[in-house]
Amino acid sequence: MTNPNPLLDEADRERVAPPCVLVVFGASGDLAARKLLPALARLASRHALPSSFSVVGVARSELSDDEFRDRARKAAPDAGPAWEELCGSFRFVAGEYDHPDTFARLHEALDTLDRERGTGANRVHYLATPPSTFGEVVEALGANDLNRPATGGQFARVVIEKPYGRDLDSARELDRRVHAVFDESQIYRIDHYLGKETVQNLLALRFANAIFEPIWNRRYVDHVQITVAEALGVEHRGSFYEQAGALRDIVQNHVMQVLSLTLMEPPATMDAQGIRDEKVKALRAVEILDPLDVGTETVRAQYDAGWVEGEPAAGYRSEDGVDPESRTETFVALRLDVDNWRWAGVPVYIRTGKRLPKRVTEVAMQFNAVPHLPFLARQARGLGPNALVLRIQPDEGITLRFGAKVPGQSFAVRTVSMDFLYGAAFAEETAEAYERLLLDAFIGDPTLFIRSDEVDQAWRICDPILGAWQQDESPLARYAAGTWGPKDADRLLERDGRHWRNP
Amino acid sequence: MSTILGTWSAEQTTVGEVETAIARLRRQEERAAVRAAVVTLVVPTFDDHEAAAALDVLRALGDHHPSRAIVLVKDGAGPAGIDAELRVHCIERDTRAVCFENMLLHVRGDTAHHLDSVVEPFTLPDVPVVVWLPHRLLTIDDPLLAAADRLVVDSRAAGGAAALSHLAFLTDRLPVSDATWLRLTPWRRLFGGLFEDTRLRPFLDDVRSIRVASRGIARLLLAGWLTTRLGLDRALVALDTGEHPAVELVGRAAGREGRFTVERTGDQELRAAAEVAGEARIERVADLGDRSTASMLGRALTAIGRDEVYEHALASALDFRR
Repeated sequence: MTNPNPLLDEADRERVAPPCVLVVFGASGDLAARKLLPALARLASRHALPSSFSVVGVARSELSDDEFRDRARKAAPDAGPAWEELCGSFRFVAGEYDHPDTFARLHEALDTLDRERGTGANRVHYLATPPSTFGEVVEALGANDLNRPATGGQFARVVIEKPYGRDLDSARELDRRVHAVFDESQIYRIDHYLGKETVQNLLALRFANAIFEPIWNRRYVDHVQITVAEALGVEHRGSFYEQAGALRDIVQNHVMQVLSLTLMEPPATMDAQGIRDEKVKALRAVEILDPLDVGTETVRAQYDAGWVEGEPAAGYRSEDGVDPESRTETFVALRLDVDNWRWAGVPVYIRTGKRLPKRVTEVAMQFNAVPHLPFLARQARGLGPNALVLRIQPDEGITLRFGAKVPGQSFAVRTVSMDFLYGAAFAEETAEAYERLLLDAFIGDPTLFIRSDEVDQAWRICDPILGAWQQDESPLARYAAGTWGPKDADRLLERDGRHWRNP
Repeated sequence: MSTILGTWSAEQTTVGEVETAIARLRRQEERAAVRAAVVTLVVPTFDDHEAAAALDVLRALGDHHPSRAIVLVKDGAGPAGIDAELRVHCIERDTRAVCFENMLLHVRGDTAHHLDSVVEPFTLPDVPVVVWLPHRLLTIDDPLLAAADRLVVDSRAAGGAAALSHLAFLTDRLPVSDATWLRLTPWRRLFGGLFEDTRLRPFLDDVRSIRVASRGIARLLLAGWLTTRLGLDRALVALDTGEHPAVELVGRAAGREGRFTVERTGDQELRAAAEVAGEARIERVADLGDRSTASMLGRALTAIGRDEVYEHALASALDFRR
């Protein structure tokens, strides 16, 4: 056992990764260039990477070490000398994922880095490859003895990107293949939403404050609204999106994570097990829709041409890579009910879509009306329901909406907003989600990664909806790009006497 | 950069009039209604030149650390009284505005000996009061200390080695952030980071010599840091002069000698190296980052609690001075 490093402060040591090599499968791809390499560059410039750290890129593309290093530098051109120096140590292994020679050369690169760079025989494998290759790569890692640290090392981990399966069966099958090679403690299923500061702030808001928890239940909350809106269309991901759709792309992962953090019980401890146990319990309490109710409790739709943010936008079926007869949903609205002591009778309304008027993600807790309003109707005309809105992106913060007297001689009440703006209270530059999650994977903190049973529960909720939609051949609802979805989505709430918020 | 939403000034005014003026300035401008200050920052200075320099730093700071800043120009001569200048600043961020105010108060005569009574009414509720001493330290009985939750100093500007014992007294009383120490952070992190390599860490268990070079107080703090963190006798440490901080540590492990260094090798570049007999030389590079006074002050404002590593280094630095 090596003694702790006395020359790093407690705080520094806590958030500095241990010596290791990050092996990126799919290193020549879009995710590596847009997210992973820039995140590593930021970690390097913040001194959060160990001195003994390096990256090995693995991909089918024929790149040399120098070409890969060049790509890494270009991915973060202003990152400074620390990144420049780090890039100089990167290696690249070109080859097929099912070819033993690829892994023999990977072994060689890793051994060299351990020797020359002091990377401690520790590995973090990152699967930034198409989802269809996850099982194959994981099995190859096992077959080539890369599922455990090399001699003298302490860990070998695997980070797996979303989507984790495309339905419950395929997710379970992937899990079976992954578990045949890696123990659950080695598996880090990533959903970048959990790396967002404001998603983590849900835990701080709920469990670090005495004033919110007492009202966080069916006695005070009328309903919950979760909105994940995107102004963008499918961009260059048309063919991928055709296979996914909004339910798989957003609801099964991002929304289910936000939902579970919003509804979960207070954990006994804020460690990985404490938090993930409670998230799973919350998901398990979500009532599964009967296939016969899917038609009334969900709305799926597709965008037509319209205007978004002052620009004309093509309809979904005209996008590159999209079938002109496509039935893939670009918008979902649904109502879920939660069967537990805290939330029974409190509906959760979810909506997500592409080509909506603006990019916004928020969770809104809408509270019950007062039992008796002691004002004349005309005095309270401007009064809306109390709401606590957690803005996840952009404009991160919290808004409390409540009634206040309008100044003047007469007595009138109007709803006002009390805003907490995250960026105004904390000047620290917030870490980008991938930056936070990569560092957590290096350090070995799985709290913000998704456990096997969480994936299972999220698919358990979404699977019957997908199944019912598959059987339903009626035309999809349509909405003009730049609007808040189809009328059917409004009716979903209106029949309950409620309305979507205007985020 | 921030824009100025409103200004107000008055000579021979009162605390009450200044408070009224702040409220009026905020009311006049809708964007200023939401206050974003997370700290009350008090800056005692001794002449207009010092005050102007402090205000320049605060302007640069405001973009990232909106605070209510109170710059005091202390003038013990003449009749008692206060002259005041107020500015409400606003930074537009996306669709929102973040607003904060700077106050420049010339405090004269007897009033200058009771700055705490001037400052207290202006401190924001429920946020910490940080006293920034850009040029010189307060005496240990200065009443302003009673109003402070934290001190921010720059030991280099406050008198260097000669001010160390005074600074040690102040750290006994309040948490202190020292800009000179904060500027050394990249050196300490890069050098300490070398020993995250577990093969190199045993060399710290048998240190044979350390050489620390720099100008002024930085080398004392670095020497103090190394001796306290490594539990070394100060006789092992040699102090040298140099334009920039540099450290060389020689240690032994498993019968081999290792030499570890960190030094500045460019305008923005630091380089650390490990040379162990029979092994390839290991080099690491780090970016020095923003070393401006505003950046150091900004980092000090986000600090919470005491910096015990600094306090121990400071106490040990006193031994090196003797």
